Amino acid sequence: MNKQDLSRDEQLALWKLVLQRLELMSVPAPLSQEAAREILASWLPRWGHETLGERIRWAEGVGFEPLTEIVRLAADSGPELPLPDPGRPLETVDGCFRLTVTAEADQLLLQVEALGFAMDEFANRHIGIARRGEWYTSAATPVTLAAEALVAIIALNADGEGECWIADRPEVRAALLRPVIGLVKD
Amino acid sequence: MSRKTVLIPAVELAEPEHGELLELLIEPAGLGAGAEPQLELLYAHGLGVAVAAAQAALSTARLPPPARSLISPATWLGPPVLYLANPRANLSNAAGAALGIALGLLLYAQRCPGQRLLATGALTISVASPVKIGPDRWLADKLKLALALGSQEQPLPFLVPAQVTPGVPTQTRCAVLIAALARLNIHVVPVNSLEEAVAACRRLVDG
Repeated sequence: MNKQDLSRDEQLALWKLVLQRLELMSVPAPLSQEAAREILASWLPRWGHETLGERIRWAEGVGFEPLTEIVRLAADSGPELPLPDPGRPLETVDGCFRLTVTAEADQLLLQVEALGFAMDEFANRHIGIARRGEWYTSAATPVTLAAEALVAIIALNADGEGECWIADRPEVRAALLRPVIGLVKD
Repeated sequence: MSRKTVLIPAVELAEPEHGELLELLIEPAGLGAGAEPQLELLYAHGLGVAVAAAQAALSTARLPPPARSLISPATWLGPPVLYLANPRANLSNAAGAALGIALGLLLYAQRCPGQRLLATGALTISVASPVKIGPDRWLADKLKLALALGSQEQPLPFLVPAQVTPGVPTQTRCAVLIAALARLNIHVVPVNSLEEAVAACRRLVDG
């Protein structure tokens, strides 16, 4: 940019901007890199599809409307917190959702499909999976849950399908013994 | 009567005190069936893991040879079809149905006597030893489910693992329930292996 081409007002505006940037550079960082790392470590692991805005919003609590649940039946008494048999999808009691759990190394892949009319109703929305607890009074009674009370939040696509990788932890396996599926309020 | 019935208890994982009895039916597959038992329906009913274990167990177990009698259904009715009369979409862990499926196939082939029985147990296969039945920590809850069947006219065998947890015998841990079921003519028989289960059925029905 040629200084000669600018009017006096434009030159003044430019110099103000330059001075402002120089002042900003001289301000020390609000927190050290180590402090930033500590804060990040205390946060929950980030879900794959989660945007920064969602992460900040959900950190204060997730609006969760329980829709239905999965009551798992077992003929055996294998491990303490068993995952479903390989290749066996779980269906909610009302037949609206199917959940497939696949274990791979120390990760679990959760795949959710909305079935039938639920596909139209819940396409392009966020579905949460939570452990059934005392907060659960009945389906369709909205609650606000702490983000850590949810096992996963899955964004469903236009076909009502979505998936999410999460760490294979005992708390997750315990939640999957009787998971509640609900709508995450946007 | 060519149809055989095996009742397999299943409990809710989060609340094992609730559950139900799965009704496994074994009956002639009918005309046009192949030479092998038809097990596809069991896969669809979520029993794939148990079917695989039962088939492996039957191929390695040291059992009496199949009956070659002309009056054996296995001879003149052809192979059986197996299915659940009350399939459950929420059956997620099925290994404990393996003993029931193996015994169902043996009942049909008349290698194990009887028409109807209850069974629960996951089978562990090893070439060197008999087909072992693993412990079941929810056995007490499963025994309670059988109480709902009420009093039986004919003795009804209920084959269960010999141990509730490793080192804890079923006979002592579940003594009260076993006695209550005996009053209903349901005879709980703790067994360690598939071979023992077949021998126990033979004793109960023949003797």
